[in-house]
Amino acid sequence: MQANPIYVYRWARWSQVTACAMVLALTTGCVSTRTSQQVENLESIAENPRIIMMPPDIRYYLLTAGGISEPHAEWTLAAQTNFSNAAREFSTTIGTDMRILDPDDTSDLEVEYEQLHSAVGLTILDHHFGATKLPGKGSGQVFDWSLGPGVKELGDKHDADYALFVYYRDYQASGGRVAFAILAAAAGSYVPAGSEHGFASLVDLRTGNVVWFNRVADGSGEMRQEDGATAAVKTLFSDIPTAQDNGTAE
Amino acid sequence: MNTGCHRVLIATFLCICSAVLYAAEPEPLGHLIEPGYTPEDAADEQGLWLEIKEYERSLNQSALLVRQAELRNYIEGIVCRVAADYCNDFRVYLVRNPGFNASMTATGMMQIWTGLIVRASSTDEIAAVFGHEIAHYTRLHSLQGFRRLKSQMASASVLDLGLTILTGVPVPLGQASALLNYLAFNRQQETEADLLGVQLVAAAAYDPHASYRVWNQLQQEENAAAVKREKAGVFSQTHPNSEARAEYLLQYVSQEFGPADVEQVADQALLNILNNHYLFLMEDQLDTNRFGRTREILVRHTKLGVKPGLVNYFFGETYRQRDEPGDRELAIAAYTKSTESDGSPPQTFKNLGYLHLKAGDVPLAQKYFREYLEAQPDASDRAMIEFYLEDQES
Repeated sequence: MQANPIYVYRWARWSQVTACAMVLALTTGCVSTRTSQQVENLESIAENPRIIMMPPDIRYYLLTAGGISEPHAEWTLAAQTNFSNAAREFSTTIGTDMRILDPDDTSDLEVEYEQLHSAVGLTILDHHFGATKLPGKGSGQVFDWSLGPGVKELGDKHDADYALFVYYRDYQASGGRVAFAILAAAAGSYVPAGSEHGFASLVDLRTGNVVWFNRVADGSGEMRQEDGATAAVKTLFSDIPTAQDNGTAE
Repeated sequence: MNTGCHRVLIATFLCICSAVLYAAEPEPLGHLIEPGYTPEDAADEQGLWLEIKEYERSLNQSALLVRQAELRNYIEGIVCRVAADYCNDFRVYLVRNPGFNASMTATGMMQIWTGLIVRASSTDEIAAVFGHEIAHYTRLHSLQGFRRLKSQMASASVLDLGLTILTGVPVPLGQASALLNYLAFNRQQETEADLLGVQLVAAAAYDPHASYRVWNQLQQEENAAAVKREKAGVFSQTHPNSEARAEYLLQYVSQEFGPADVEQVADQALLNILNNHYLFLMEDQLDTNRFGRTREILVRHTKLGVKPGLVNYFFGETYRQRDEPGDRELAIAAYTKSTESDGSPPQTFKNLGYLHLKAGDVPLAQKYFREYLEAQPDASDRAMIEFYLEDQES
C-alpha cells in the first residue's frame, strides 16, 4: 500500500471523530439499518439454498476540501475484496452455499441485471423508505418490488436459487475537508464531512421478486479493513432470511 | 484587536490565498503522454480510471451500440489513421444517437454518435472531430480538468467561508466564480484540442480545412432550424461557441497549411457508408422531429450524391411527419420522385399507399400497396397491408 492513502485515512478518521464531537451532533445515531422482506426462509431443491452474489457494487471516494468526490481505486478494490471475503464466510453461518461472481468475468446478462438492480434499489430507497412514498404500493406499507421473471435466465445459467446484490458508496473526508468542516462549524455553518450509504437485496431467481432488502447509512463499517468489512457484512445482512434448518453449516 | 477587525483580516487573507490559486498559465501544444499510457501512481488518476472502467463495462452491453462491421471498420479506420502511434490506446464505441457529438475519456474510451456521420460532408470532417478528441486524450485534459476543479473548489470554499465570516451571510460567490473559472479553463482546453487536433489530422493526410467546415455546417443547420438552440447560460458554456471555433480554426489552418483547395472531390468512402446504412441513420434523425434541421441535412446529402431514391424518401417523410396543410401533396411528390430513382426503399410504396388512401383514391392506394408487397415480399406488416387490400376491394 502507498503511504499517502493511509496517511489520509488515519488523519481523516481521527479528525472526523473530533469534528463530530466538537461541532454538532448532526448525523442521527450511529448505525442505522432498515429492512423489508417478503419471506422468512430460503427455499431450494438443493441441500442448501444456492446464492450467487453479483460483484459487489462498492465504491469509495475521497471527499475533497471543496466538496468534490474523487473516486479512489485502492480503497474501492480493497473494500470490494474484503467485503466479498467476509460475505463468503457469513453465508455459511446462515446455511447457504454462496458463490461470488468475478467482476472481470461477467456477461452482458449479468451487467444488465446489475444495472437493473441499481435502478430498482435506488427506487426502493426513494419510494419505499424515502419521503416520496407511492400510493400504489400502500404508501410504503406494501413491499412487492421485482426485477421481473426474466432474471430466471440468470438462475438457470448459474444454477442458483437466489441472487444477492450489494450497492455501497462511501465518501471519506480528506484532511482538508475535515479542517474545513471544523472551520465552518466555528463560523456557524454546517459542512458535511463524509458519509456512507448502501443497500443489499436478495432476489428470488424463479420470480425476480426482491424477497429481502436492507439499507444502511452512517457507521455501517469500514470495509477498507478486513475486520471492518466483517462488521459491515453483519450489519448489511442482519435479518437476511436463512435456510429452513437455519444454521446447519457449522 | 476587536473581533470584527480580526474577521476582516482572516477573510482578506483567505481571499488572497484563493486569488493566487486562480492564476492560470497557457502551455505549449504537443502530446503530453506516450502511446500505451497507463495511469501514474496517483490516487486521483487511478480512481478516475477505475470509475471509467466500470462505466465502460456497462456501455459494452448497451443496446444503442452500432455493431455493423462496415460502419465500425470505417469509423475505427479513421480513428486509427488520425491517432497514428496512439491507435491501440483507443476503444471506439459507435452509439446510435442522432446528435452531433463524440467524446473521449482519460482512459481512451471513445464514444462516437451516429449523428456525426449523418452531418459530415466528407471523411475529413469526421477525422477532424476525432483529431480533437484524440488531442484531449494525449493532453490529459480530463485529469487536468478534474485536478483544477478540485483545487479551485477548495480555495473557493475557503473564500466563501471568509465571506460568511465577514458578512454574516452565507454567499457562494467563491464557488460560483470557481465554476466560471473552471469553465473558462475548459474552453481553453477545447481550443487546445481544436488546434492540436488539426495538426494530427494534417499529419494523417486528411484535409485540415475540414476542421472549420464542420462548424460552418453546424451553423447552417442552426440557421435552417425552426426552433433554435437556446444560448448557453454562463454556467453551461463548456465549449467556445461554434462561430468562434470556425473563426480561429480558419485562421490557424490557413496560416499553417495555406488556402483550401478550390475543388471538392466526392468522398466515395463516406458516400458508400451513407448509401448502405441510410435508413437507420436517417430514421434516428427523423425521430428528433426537427423539420428544418433534417431538411438541411437532406439538402446536403443531395449535393453529396447520396442515392436520390433514399434522400427523396426522407424528404417525403419530413412532410408526412410535419403534416401541415399542403404537406400531404408535397410528401406524395417527394415519395413519387423517390420511386422513380435509384435506391428507393420499398416502404416508399407503402407510404404512398397510405397517403392516397387518406386522400380517398383507393385504386391508386391499392396499386402502391401491391407494389410494396412485391418489393418486400417478407414485409413484417404484410398481413396488415393485405387486410387493406381486401377491405377496400370488398
